[in-house]
Amino acid sequence: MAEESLLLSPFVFPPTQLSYQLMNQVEVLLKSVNLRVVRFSGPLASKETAFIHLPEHNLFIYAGHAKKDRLCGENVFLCDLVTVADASIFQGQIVVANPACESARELGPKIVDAGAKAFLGSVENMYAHFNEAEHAYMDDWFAYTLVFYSSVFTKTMGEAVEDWKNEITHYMDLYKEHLDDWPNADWNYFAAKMNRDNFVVLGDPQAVVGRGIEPTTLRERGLLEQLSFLFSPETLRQQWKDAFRSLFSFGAVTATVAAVAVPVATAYAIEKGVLTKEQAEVAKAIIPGVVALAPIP
Amino acid sequence: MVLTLERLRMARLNIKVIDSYSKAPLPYVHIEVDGRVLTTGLDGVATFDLPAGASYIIKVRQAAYRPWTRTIQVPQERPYEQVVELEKAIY
Repeated sequence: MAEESLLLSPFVFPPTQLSYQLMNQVEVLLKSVNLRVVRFSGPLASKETAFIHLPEHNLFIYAGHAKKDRLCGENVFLCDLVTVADASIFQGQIVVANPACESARELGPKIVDAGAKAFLGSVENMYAHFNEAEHAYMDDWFAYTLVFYSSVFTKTMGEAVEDWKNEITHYMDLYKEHLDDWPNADWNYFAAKMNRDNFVVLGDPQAVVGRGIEPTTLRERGLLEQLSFLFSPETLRQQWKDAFRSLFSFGAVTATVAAVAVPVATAYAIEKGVLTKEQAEVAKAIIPGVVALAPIP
Repeated sequence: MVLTLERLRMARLNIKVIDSYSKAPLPYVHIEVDGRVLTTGLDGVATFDLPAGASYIIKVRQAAYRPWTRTIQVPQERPYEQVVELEKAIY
């Protein structure tokens, strides 16, 4: 597994447009600290994409619609990006479904039972927040979720979930203070509480992204990068050009040497009795490319 | 001493709640108008009889949907219909 994370974020069905924006920020955050993220969004966030790319990553992040036994992907009616039947493809990996509804009810336990290190998701509905006239609730949601994803890459999964809950509590306290003067503070308090109280880590709470396999992974990555460079089409094309140039140069030198040296050497060999005129004729017949240049004395 | 009694004019406010994506009516939605709370029926409609000519804060709340809060002026002498399109808020 050479890459840190595979991130899938559908964006067609409401409110996945918001989680798509949220994942844009998560991607920027992760790349800003030199973490590798492979991202597929919209129709590209498909089952095929997940299955093809998953083996190369040690963390799978999904943000979109989900049900208790599946992650939907772009098509919420088909809803078959990952189902309980696919649980074994996550062996040895960490799976994060945030935001995604109810995924920790049946899908999460199945994935962990099938060998995943950890599954982070909610046993209930997860809520988006929306910016309203009185307060930018969505900005708060982005902020507390970015704290979570930042911790996912730097701490244990258990600590990441704790950080997420502490950060949400901070915003819940803020909404509670403004129940009288922010008309939508009540709903946002409830939504934040749902996100906080029902989010769980299944499997190993001490699991970390990349720790333990990181040195090996880094060495493998270095080797793979070198190999992929050596065998890249551009490198091969350049090597072929160099080789052709070298062969051409070698041929020119050889022809020059043959044209000058072979007649001299042949004449010298005949004079010394090492080579007869007949042998020289035979040699001319066998290797015409070289000897033909040499006039037989 | 002259006492003038003016009849309080009432207006009917019909609030219809639908899903913004499917346009289907949403039943059992809680609607709060001026401290009174009603729930929509199977047709997604809740009806309030209110003193006409005043403005009211309407709060529409349903789990899984974005909250909807507006201040509206209820006109006199004719039923006033407000359609509320609720946007999904859950994943």
